[in-house]
Amino acid sequence: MSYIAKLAIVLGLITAVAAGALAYTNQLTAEQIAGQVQQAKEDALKLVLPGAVTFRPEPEMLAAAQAGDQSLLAVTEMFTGFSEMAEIGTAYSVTVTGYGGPVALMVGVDSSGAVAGMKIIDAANETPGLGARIKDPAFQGTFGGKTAAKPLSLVKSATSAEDEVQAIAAATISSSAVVRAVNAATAAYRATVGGGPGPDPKLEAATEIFPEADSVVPDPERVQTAIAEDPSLEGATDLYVIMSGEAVIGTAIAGTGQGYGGPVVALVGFDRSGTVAGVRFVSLSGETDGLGTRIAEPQFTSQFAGKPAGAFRVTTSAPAGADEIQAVSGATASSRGAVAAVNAAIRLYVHLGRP
Amino acid sequence: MNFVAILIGGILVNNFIFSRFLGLCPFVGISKRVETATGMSMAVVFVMAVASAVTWAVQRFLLVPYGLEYLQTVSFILVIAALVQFVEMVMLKTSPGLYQALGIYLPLITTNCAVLGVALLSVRSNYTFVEAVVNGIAGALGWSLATVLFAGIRERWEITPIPKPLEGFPIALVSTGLMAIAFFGFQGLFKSLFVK
Amino acid sequence: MNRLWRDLTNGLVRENPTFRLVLGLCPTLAVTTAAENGFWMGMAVIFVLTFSNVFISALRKIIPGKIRIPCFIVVIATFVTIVDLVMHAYLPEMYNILGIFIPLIVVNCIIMARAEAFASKNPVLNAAADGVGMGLGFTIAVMLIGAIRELLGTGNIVVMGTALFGAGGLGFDPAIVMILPPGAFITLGLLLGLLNSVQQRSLRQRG
Repeated sequence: MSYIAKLAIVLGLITAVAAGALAYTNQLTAEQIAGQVQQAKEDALKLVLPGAVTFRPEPEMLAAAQAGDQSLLAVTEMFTGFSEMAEIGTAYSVTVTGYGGPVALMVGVDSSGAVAGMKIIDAANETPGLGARIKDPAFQGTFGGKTAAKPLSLVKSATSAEDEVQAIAAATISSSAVVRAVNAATAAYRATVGGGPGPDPKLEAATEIFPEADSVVPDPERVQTAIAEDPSLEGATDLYVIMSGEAVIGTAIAGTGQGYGGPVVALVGFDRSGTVAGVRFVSLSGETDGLGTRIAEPQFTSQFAGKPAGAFRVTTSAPAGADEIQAVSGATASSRGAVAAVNAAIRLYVHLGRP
Repeated sequence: MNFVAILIGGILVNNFIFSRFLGLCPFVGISKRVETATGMSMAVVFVMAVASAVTWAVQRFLLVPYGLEYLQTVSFILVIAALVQFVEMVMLKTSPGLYQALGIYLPLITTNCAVLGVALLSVRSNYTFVEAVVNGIAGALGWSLATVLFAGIRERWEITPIPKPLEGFPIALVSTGLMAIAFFGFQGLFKSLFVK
Repeated sequence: MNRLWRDLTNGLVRENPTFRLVLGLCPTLAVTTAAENGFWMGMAVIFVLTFSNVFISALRKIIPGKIRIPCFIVVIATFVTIVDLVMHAYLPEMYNILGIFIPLIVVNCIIMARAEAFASKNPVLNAAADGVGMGLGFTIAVMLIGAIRELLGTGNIVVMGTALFGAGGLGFDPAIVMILPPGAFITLGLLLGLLNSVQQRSLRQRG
């Protein structure tokens, strides 16, 4: 047998035996290894969404959000967490570049829109004693309770606002990577389940007009019935009964008018004596910034307060009677729209017998 | 990932000697004179660049498609050993002078953890082919920079009084440590430039 | 038997791979950020070194000289991969900490040097003893370096989750540079210098 062939055979045999031994070992350990990754993920999920016991992956929801926002690609997975009885929030697996390499973490957001918890899954490349301290429970804990409604910012000194997180001393880059990751998670939250216009601005306006109120109860049926009786009332869109304890202290009605560039929606509050308690403009997206939008300012809205609930008219000079409202100078069309919206609300109020 | 970032990262920020601890044995042993260090470095740059390319291909076209990731260590190191053998043969034929100078060092490149190290790092960072090659070159350049600098310092030891117990390896290591502190100043350099 | 004992203890002090032969520097400096890390790396090295020594010794009459290096490499790489897979499966935390230095054991000069210098020229049992001895010597060395760096760099030594010196450590402000790369070089350098000094002094006293 030639020398070369002998060399090749020996080397080949040894390699073959080696490969076989490795294939066998691989088989023995593969399941354990795969199971570990799964276990680590589950442990992290349970930690960031306390109370959740099962998790449902949401790849389609995440992909849809990422299609609209490339910066969400840092979020690698999304889960909805369920306790025994209910859906309690969502969790996001995020990977960002830290100081020395990738940092992977899990962020949980509860159903009230606050960060429920954050857990670093992998920060092996961060410097021990410095960047690796992002794994300290104290740092991870500072994220709990922070709002998911907007990005958090990193500060080096003590935090002064709710949306600030203090960096770990001498580990700014690692800390900032963590904040970036949490912000990506909350952005994904806002783009998926947390999206939407937020709390109803009409409800907020109602509580502004009636500060003593402790409940604002919508009554859409009454509005529908009234419009069915008199179609000209269709400018009114919502009715709320304002209560303090068991007592009804007022009514709030939302009315729409045509402003300068689009519809203007006003929420008009009426107290029990039939007087206008206050007016707030909850939607004026078509009005010009700095001009038409000034109808929302107290200088304009306070003109309505205290007046009897009757049709108002717009005047460009100083108001002469109780039913005259002075327009915002330079924004007559917007002001007309504003007053039309208020009048729409008042018409419904009158139709219902001034409750 | 930005190629400039990989280059600056490999040479300065995560220098293979001063930060990643790769390629130390030949570093401490070889760099006695600047000329030898430079020659060795060129060989290392070449080998690391080609090794990065070939191991990337092995991973991408052989190991992953057939589920053979567990053969990564064996296949990578065999590829590197074969490559070094090949470089040796080529060098013998094309420039015997260089071969004479580097002769015994060449086989050592096989066990230079920097070569296998950079191959593993590129795979673990999920680099593309070009990124992996750039990473190999960057790591090699960083290694070379450290080695040549160190050779320069070593030449000065000839005329410096060194305490007897520290002669040789001890002072070499302490000096490397001091150089490492200097290089530590580069940490965070490209992060602040390239990462917001 | 005497020979066997000598082969075993050789690697502990007389020819300690780290302190005497100064081999395998890369993992020595890289993983010694904590005593515990050094311990597990040592265990991995003992496993690989012993088994590869045994197999290479067993095959020493069969392996042709011309291809002995590639053959050694395959054998060593096989055991390194086994350690890698087993650690990944059963010691995931340590696997993540040791990172690429587990597969890098294959180019750890200690293992190749012992294969070439000893295992390929000696019977199986002796090769095994040499492997264990060298591995233990390496383990002791890296644990010592790891302990020093961890103590000076973090103020405490943590073993299996328990801090040996209590929650507050030894109460001094640690020098973080010790657990960073420069600290590794300086610690080993000074240790080597210290050992040299001790050895030279004892030589002078004897002479």
